[in-house]
Amino acid sequence: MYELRCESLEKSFGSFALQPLDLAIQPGEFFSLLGPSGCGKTTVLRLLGGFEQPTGGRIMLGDRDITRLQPHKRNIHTVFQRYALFPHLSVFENVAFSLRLKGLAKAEIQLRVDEIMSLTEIGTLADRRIHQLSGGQSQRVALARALVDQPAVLLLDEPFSALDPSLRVRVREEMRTICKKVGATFILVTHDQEEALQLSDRLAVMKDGRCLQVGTPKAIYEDPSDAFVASFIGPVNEIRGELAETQPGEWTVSSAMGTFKVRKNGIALPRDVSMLLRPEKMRLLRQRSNTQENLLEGEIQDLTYLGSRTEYTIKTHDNVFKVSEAELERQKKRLLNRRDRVFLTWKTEDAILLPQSAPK
Amino acid sequence: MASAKTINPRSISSESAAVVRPNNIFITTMFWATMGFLYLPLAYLVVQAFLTDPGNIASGFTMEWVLALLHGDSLWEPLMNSLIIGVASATIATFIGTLGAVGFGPFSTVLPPSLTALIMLPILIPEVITGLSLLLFFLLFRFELGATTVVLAHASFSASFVYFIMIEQLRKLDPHLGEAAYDLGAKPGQIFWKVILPNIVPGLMAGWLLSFTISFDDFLISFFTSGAGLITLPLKIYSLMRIGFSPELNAMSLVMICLSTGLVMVLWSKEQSRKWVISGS
Repeated sequence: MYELRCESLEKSFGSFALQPLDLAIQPGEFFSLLGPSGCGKTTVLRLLGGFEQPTGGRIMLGDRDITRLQPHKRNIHTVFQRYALFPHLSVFENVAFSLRLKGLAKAEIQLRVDEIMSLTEIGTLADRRIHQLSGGQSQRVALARALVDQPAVLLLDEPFSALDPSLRVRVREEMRTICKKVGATFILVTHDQEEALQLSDRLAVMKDGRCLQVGTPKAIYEDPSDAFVASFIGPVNEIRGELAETQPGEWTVSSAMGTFKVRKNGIALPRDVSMLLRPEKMRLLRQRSNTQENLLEGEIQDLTYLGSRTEYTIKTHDNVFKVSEAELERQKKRLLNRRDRVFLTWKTEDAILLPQSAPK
Repeated sequence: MASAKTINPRSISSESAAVVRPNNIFITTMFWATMGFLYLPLAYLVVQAFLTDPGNIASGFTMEWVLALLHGDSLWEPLMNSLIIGVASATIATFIGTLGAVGFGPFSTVLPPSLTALIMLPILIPEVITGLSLLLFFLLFRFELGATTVVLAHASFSASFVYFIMIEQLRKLDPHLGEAAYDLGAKPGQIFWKVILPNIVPGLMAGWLLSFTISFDDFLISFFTSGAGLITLPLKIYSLMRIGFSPELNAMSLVMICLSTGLVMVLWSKEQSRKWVISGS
């Protein structure tokens, strides 16, 4: 097991440029590259896989420089977006492909293919043709084919996008189970934040060829480094205002909607800041409460019942807030309807404080 | 009035049938009229070949002319020439067209899209011009006109068709097939032989048969590039026709029709059996 490192990795073609990228991915880690299309995540994957050559920097696997090695000499394999299974071969022969090329003995091939096929639970499909497989089965065959060679790192290029949305959650769970059993390092490329949160040990959020933040799903969700990361990883409400220290150690943000208490963490902030609030961190009060520090009055514009939670759109002054209330909490209270007056509140420590970005 | 608005399934179905029926008659008539226009002349030619006195249907049927042709020697030399030229040119065209499609197709970005127009050009240029230009070219380089020049001419013309058939075939494949094989340790040659080739066999067969048919049926290009000594089946039919309509001409045309449609049948049945294998297994 080796650590995979990108050291000032650069790539430019046409009008796209991947900014010098430094990443260290731990052995056995499930790591995701998350970002919108055109952010460079697929470029990073293709550089790691050996299908593109970088214009600068290097890729290290352990203490071996693999930057210029051909794909099959890197101990890294790729699972392609639509799996790229060989249609003329059976499932067994697809999985055995790399071993046959290596010229291994028949008995050994049989043994290793059987082993990986039972691990990925496709043992019963050995004689099937590729066009007879369902989406989820195809994906497991692609996984088995890439894993049979025991690579140190497996690259997954949007492996769930070819699947029916209703299947994705279940297939992701199966994938995570398989990954943990194998013990290799997995790198997933995706534009789906839910996917990245569900699967990753750590993830990197990318935009315009730049890596914005690297961290655990929890750290990125709760402590995003900028407004783009915050809104890409999940819905967020924004209040823009001016940061001021009213008393030593006590900070407030004053905005058109009022003045709110905030907790300032270590980082230096300019005067103009954005206060970001996740919909599920905001609470709805039926009556005004004088004990709450942060309070906003508004009217329910719309509500959507989603079973485990209810989502509200609330209009205050000139702003619109999204609030999500867990069903359990809702049951204890009076039911709310459209056009009801309500009060919004949140815990001071739940507000995310960031420098203001340029207006959208 | 209100009752007229209630939905009665029966009245709807009869109404819609009344709307559809005239269309059906129109479509059916058009279909058979087109079929008749396409196939009646051919059918007449086939019937002619079996008439005791060609041109006179009342004269009765005979196998005489067909048998005379099969036992004589006017058919066999041109037929063998056509078959050999067809096989040779189809093989060369399939080879070149496939290489082009693999090299420049969806698996590569070597050729800018504008240049693919150059590959299409031979299909668009009038055959007379193609034939004439090839003749001038062969004369310029002092090629001896004969089977070789006809094969080269047919191959160069058919390669364009093969190229487009193979491009379509390759487009149906997963674009990452080659990279996947490379990733798993296949060398460029192995990628082609072990992964690409087995998946384009239907296209290869279709391309080869189309090239063969083009060559087998071709008159104009053969006419320009065959020189004095070589005669193919279409050239033979043309030369017979210049003497005048004869029972021999009819019988020879029959042979050509049978061979050409036979090829289409082969192609069609292969396609059907392939579909059957896929859906049946």
